Amino acid sequence: MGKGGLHLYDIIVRPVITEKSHDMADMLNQYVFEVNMRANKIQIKEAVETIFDVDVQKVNTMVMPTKRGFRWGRKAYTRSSAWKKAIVTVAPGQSISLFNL
Amino acid sequence: MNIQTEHLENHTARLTVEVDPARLEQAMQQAARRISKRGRIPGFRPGKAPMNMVVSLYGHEYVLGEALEKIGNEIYREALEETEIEPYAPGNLEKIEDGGLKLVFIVPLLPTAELGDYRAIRVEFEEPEVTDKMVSDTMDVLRERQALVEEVDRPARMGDQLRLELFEVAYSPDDDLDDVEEDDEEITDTLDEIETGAADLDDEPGEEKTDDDLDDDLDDEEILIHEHGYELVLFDDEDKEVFPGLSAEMVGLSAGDEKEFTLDIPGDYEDEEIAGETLRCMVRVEAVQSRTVPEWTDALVERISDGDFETILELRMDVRKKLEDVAQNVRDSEILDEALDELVEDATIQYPEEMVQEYIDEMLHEFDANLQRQGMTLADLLKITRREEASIREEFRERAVRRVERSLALGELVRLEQLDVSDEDLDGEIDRMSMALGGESQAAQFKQFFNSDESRWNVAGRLATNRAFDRLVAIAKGEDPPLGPIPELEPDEVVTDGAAGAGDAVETAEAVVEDTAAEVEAGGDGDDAE
Repeated sequence: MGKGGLHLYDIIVRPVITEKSHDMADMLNQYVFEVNMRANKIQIKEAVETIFDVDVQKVNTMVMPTKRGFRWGRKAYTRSSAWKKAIVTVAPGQSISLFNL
Repeated sequence: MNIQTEHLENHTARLTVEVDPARLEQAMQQAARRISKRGRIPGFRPGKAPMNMVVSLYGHEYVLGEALEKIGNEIYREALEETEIEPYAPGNLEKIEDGGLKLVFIVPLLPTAELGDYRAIRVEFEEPEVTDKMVSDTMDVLRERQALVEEVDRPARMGDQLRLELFEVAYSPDDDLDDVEEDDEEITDTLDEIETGAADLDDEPGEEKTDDDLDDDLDDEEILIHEHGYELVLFDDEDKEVFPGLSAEMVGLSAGDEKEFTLDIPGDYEDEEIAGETLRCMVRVEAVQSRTVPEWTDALVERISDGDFETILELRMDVRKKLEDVAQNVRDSEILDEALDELVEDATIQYPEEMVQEYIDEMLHEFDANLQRQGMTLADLLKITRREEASIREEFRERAVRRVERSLALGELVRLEQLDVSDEDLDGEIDRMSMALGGESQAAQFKQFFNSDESRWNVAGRLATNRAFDRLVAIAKGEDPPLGPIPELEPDEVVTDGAAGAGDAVETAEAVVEDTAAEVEAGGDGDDAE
């Protein structure tokens, strides 16, 4: 059980797999996740270490802002809510298999 | 590359090729890029997704397939070069082992034909005899064609001509006896039925009675003739009649009369199919016509021969010569048929299954084309007869095998006997064909048409086949011809040209000749395909 009532598996929402994240994992050993808004770096570190069985050296987080997309009809806009992104640096030599390197 | 070759039974080879891992890896990379270009992978620009990504999304098999599509052919070609195998048709990738590092190809090999002692083939034959009676009969036919036909208003007499609004002859075949034969003829029979049925649809709607009759008949009766507007001459002579005894039944009928009667065909009748059967005939007479057959005069001779001959004797000699030619052609084609069988029997011929399938394809194609001339397609026929294409293919198989073997044997014969067609020969033949088809005025057009690569190929093939036929006949007759092409081949149509008026006997015989030739030729055509 993590702190603040967050379950370990509630902290990490999904891996972010894009060209950029792929390159980061490939070259910098940094893995990108979408995480729960309320999770902090320590929780993220613990979660990643437990779930993926790696040593985490550093966690950077950022909150991605809400974005408004194109308009559906007269009033409705597509809207993406804000989310928290975490860039996890893993110890050299270790990797997270989820990213298919 | 490490290649293992195995020869399989049906004249195919199995190649097991080991692929260089680095080469495969590179191909996989490229394949992955191509795949990711085609389908968007979220998070990546098209074509930018890394290979592992693509593999985990689409699966290893898929990427491997894509990669092999690209390099498989290359590898296959290299393998063929290295093993010096000459394939007859494109090979197949049979299986992939070790994740793509080992490929197994099945390659159909070039057919080989080794002839036996074909020079020793002899076929017994008799010089065909043209009797005076045959000549006289033909002359009579010629004369009777010139008959003056007039409509008369009286009952029919012997020698009259009847125009029949409806002429139908049917019989119930004896099922027990015909079973064996019928298997072979199933398709043809069905066709006949359909044809008769189709012809019937075109008729005036006023004839419903007949239509219904016909429908019933289809089930249990074999329809021999179903014609409208048929012109029938009443003869006293059984040899000239369509069916023996038919004329006698018709004597006394007048225009507008209808008659239904049965005919008992004697058991020794030449057409075995209906010998001993009882024919059910139905006629409706539209008109009775008298025929006035002219006597032989020099003027008549001139008319018949289009001015080529002046006296009866000349015409008679010409008819005799043509009859002899036809008889000889018929005999030669019989010899050829037998000699071909022997040639094939003595030869060691190996060919892959693909070749047979190709011939079957060709035959199906021809069959389809024939059907289309009758206004239907193969697909229709399959539907009507509730059959699968496979069963028809199976039916064609035996004939296809025969064609394959014959054409391979002939091809080898052409080679051994040095009968190859040179360019000059080919040009000459094309000139000749163009002239024959187009005459002075259009010869140039036909020539152009024949001069396309494909048709040159065809003409050459046919020419070579014909030469092989002639050579084989000469051998079978014991003439022991020298090697190499015969200096100047007489064109095939010695007879056709002048025979236009030479009577039924000639035409029938000719038809026989052509049929046989066509069949054998069709067999020979395959040579070109290689």
